[in-house]
Amino acid sequence: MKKSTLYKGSLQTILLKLLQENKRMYGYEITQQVKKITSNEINITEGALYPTLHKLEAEGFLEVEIERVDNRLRKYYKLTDAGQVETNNKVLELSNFIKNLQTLVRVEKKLTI
Amino acid sequence: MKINDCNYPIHCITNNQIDQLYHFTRKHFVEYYDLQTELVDHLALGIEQQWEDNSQLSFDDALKIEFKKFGVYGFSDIVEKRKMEMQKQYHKFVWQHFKDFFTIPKLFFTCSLISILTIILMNLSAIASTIIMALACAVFFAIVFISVKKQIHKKDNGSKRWLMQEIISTYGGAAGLWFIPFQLIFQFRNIFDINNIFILSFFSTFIICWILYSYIMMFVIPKKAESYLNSVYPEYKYA
Repeated sequence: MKKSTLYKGSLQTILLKLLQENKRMYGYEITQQVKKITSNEINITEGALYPTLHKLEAEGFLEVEIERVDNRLRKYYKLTDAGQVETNNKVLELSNFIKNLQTLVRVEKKLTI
Repeated sequence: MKINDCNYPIHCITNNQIDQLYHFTRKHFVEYYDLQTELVDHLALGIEQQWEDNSQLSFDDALKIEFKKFGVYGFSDIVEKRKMEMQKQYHKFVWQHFKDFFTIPKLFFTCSLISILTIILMNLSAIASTIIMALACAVFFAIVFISVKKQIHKKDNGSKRWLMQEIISTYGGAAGLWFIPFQLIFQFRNIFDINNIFILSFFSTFIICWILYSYIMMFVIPKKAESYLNSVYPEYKYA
């Protein structure tokens, strides 16, 4: 299975968690921060990032701030109150998923011995 | 978190290059200023980052490298998904106004309209009802068609295009909605023969709801377009 397929379903959780830990971020900053934290293991493509950010914004989990930086406008994303709640839910979901997966993998290992 | 240090002008995107980036996004089918601005900033940051690593790289080459990161479809996926989300948001606005017609005091007005239409249908012959309803739909459809055509053919005078503004002007792409009464009338024209108050009331309710929804899209939302645009686009004040 391709690595990207494993991470595909977690993109919203990754973005929400990152924004929870940082007051606000812009798109390019998010991609760089993820690369840095995971030592280039996870590379969020631009084609996946912006649709996900826009979807979260449309659903009311993110709000937007605009600032003039250098000679252009920059769009920052930050969590709304609903976004904070959603982040906690999604992180819990993912933790449970990882726990279950680990249990399954351990069971598999036992069977092969 | 500051990605790039723009203390040294040679490593920074110039105003002219920003314009070139806007032109680049337009050339690649990003027609809306809101989306262009976000992508321009992203491309600019990527190019500046490349110049940090290799200051000899030309602007055009750096841009090609950055654009490749968007994949084979370029910006089109981002544009399409943004359109979908904006249309959903637009219909949320319409729905909020629509719900008002079913709360006091507007509920009395809505119920009156339904009652009046039901009484009219009960007292007209089946043929007369069908003809009147079909004519009313045809006139309404003509008004909508002309109005939407006018919006689409408005010349681009070089001013910025906003996706939500376009959705408001073209009524959220709800062209399919306009055909529903036609289909109803010709599929179920026999109900005018039945003269049953419950069936006619149900039919009248549907037609009135359709009229109210259309009224909101054609008149209510466009009147408040400026306030909706300001709420959706914080960058609108910079335009």
